[in-house]
Amino acid sequence: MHASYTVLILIIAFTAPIIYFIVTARRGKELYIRPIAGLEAIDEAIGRATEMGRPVFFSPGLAGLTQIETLCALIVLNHIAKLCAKYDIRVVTTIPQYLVYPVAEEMVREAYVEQGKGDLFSEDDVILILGQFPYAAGSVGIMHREKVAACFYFGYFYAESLLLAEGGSQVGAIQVAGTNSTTQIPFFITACDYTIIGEELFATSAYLSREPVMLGSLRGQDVGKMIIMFLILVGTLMASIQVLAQWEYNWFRELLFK
Amino acid sequence: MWRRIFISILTFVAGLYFFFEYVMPRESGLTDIMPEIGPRVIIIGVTAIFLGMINLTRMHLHKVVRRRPGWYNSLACIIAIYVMFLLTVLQYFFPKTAWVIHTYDTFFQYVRIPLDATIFSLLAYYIASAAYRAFRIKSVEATVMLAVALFVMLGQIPMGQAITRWLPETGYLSWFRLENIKLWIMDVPNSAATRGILFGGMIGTLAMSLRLWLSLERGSFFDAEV
Repeated sequence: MHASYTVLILIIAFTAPIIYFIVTARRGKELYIRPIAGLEAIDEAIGRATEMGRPVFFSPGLAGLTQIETLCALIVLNHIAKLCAKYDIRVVTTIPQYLVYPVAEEMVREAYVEQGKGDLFSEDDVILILGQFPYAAGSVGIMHREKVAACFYFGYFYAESLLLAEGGSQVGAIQVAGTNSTTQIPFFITACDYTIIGEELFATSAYLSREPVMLGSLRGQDVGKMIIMFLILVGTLMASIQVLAQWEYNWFRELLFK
Repeated sequence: MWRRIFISILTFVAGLYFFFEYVMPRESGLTDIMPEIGPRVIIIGVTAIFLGMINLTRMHLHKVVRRRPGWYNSLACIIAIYVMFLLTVLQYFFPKTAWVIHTYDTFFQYVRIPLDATIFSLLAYYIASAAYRAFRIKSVEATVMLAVALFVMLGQIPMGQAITRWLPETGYLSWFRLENIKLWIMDVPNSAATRGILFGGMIGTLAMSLRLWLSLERGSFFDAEV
């Protein structure tokens, strides 16, 4: 599949504000970033697990390493593992993809080593469970056996989402989910305490790092959304005018589909 | 330091290739290299799957040897892994041997698939329990959600549709037929919300890809603090 000219122009239009705000942030300008409640809740959930002296559970979703959701989930896993290492608690991670498994193990190990708690890391805490429903069954079993105090679901999920979230709910864990899978968002909203929706998932690493350059790209994301809103408004207007004025040709529609 | 520079350069060059492969016409020749990349991913995958097998074996063997609570489950897991592994290898080398095919089918078709279906069927109960929690009338939002869900469910089933069957099929009053209310909810507010999330996701993917491509993303990949 190759890009059309319109797609190329749209890529440039959406990328330009992101680059602009990254450069602006690099120059030292302070940028306001809206608070994301679900991400603030990560600290709260780990704090609760520390108080209870129980481990936390993490799932990076069912997608492979080539999907951006999984990369995002692994960065969040790294952050959570660092916090867990800092407070001397375990993070149990189940991985449904064999390519993701060594990367996840390495990220958790490095997080513990970086915090000077290498001895607290156990290879048995990063577990490979292949297959969608074996993964769900195995993960829920682990949640029950380990009596986890907090569950984190970040990445791309399919039908296993509700099985995991209800499993976590049964053990009384505080649950934070983040996905852009539109079919699974309702399940997470009903079963989890906090749900990070759509593009907020991709903002996670930037938001957690609080690094000016990363926050600049977040601001660029918001401007990109404004461009989309503007295009939707123009498109709606043009489609309405086309119907009312009985035009046979809608140049705006033709332009977008070229 | 060198590791970081190497990863950054490699990421940038790879990203540049995939970007130009997508935006340049097929005649540029960049697409022809794509099939060369596939086998490399498979090689990495094979190594990773063995790592996973070793991890699982070590973990469960540990439980069996130490007689930890539920050790017999771990034993069953080890046997299942290696029996299926052996049968798959045997099936590859002896594809026409009857007992090999029969045993493989017995384990896969009559054990693995029904177990999968059992777990999947749990979803029905979980949907009910999750829906009960979500639809309890605690706030205005929950009430609206309950009302909308009621319309969609009634509009979906023939018994629900029968409630408003007395209304005409055409004209303004037909809008109030339950199946039409359901259609409107699904096509207008539901589609709008879904597309909103998809648009946002697209922008987010673009920003995240750009951060990864330019090595601005932090974490274990780049030896820096998150």
